Amino acid sequence: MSALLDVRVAAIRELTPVIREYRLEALGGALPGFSAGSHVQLHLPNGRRNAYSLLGDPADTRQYRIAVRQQEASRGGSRYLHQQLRAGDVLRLSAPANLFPLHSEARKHLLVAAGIGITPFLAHSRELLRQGADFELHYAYRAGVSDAYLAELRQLLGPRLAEYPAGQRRLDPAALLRGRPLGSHVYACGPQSLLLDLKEQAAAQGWSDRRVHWEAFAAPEPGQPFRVELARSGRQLEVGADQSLLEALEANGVEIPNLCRGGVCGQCQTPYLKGDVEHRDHFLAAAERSNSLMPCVSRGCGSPILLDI
Amino acid sequence: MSSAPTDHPFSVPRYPSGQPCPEAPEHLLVTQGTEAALRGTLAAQLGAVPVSHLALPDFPHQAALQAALRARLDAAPAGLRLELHGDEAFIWPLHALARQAGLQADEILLHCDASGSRRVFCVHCANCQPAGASAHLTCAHCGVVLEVRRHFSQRLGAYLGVCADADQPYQEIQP
Repeated sequence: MSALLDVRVAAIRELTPVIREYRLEALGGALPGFSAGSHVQLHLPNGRRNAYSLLGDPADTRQYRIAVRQQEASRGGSRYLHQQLRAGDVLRLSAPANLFPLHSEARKHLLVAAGIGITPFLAHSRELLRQGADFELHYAYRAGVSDAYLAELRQLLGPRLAEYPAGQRRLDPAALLRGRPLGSHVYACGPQSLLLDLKEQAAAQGWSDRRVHWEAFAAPEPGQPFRVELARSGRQLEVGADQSLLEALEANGVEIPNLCRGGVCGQCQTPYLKGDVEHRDHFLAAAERSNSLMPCVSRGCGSPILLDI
Repeated sequence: MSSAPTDHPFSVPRYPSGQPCPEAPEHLLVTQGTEAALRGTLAAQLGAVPVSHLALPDFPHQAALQAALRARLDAAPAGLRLELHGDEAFIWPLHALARQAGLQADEILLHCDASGSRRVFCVHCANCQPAGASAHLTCAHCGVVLEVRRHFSQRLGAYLGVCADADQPYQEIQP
């Protein structure tokens, strides 16, 4: 695990009734640099660790900026940030990691955002402008609710920005991809339905998977409580209904390498020997699921799970 | 990648490299020979996908073919699939050109005539040269006798050639 960073909440700004921006500053010295598309994990006092995209200019290492949407089914992460966190509070972060970088071979970058999925693209837009790259940003939002940074983007991007306000104009992935030049790559961040639609349309137009890059809103869903046993130490743990297995392991001092905490990156893949598993991840192949699980999202659903750790 | 047999080193290309893609908006076939029947076979396989064909014998030289391919790719939409038929010395420079134009590696289908010419990169003078299938070759640029290793660079489109006998790099006559 890389070193953790302590930061102070320098400012909190309400962007829409459900989205707030948090500006984070180092307690001493500069923060580590990051590449566009990176995220950090926030370690909250209630034991949650959530991943948020860094939306600031990667050239600015004096501060990190994240934006958080209050989730109705919050397990406590976004609710804590919205209701309890105050300017001046100190938070612990993991160092930035990037699971959503720009592709070095792309000649044209098509960025597709829905709602709070806009965050990584703020950093990408600054980076692409700096590179003088050919790109477009397609932004689907609900006016007054999930349209964070819209005014700023209009000013920054001008004709490079295409808007899809809910109820007025539908974002059609097939039309968005059709007839694009050979060096085109598409990047999407938004709800699962948008990502699936885009991936399907890209495949239907003959695009290789390697042109399609996406980042899901990675958050574990709550479920039923379940029990796990660690084969090598014989320890037994109870995982609570709104806790993930990864969080339960961490609460008991067992650290597993992880990046996305949402079942997409594969970093926390852990072997198990027996038990009934509800996998819930988007990473493992069917064959791997008989002996591997992703503790960031997978849950027990019957007999206790025996982890091979 | 799963069970690759150990006698096939990772870097050595496999042919054919994949399957034609029926979802592609168009298919471009480039051949070293005339291959008149190939286009029809491919068109039958792909149904409604338009197939166009560039054949080396229709061009005065390789450079003219490359310029024609480049022009086609510059105007092509993402999703186009390219299929290359010929020996390794023919297909890999075109592969590099297509990657440069923005095609992904898995959007290029390679069919190779293994009996033809291939390219070898000499690690001692850093030059590439054409070669046959033999495991040994005297470098045309620096004279070192090379062993052609089963190690392939897609970027150079060439196999690695390394001095076969360090005690006798130029195969001196033993006293």
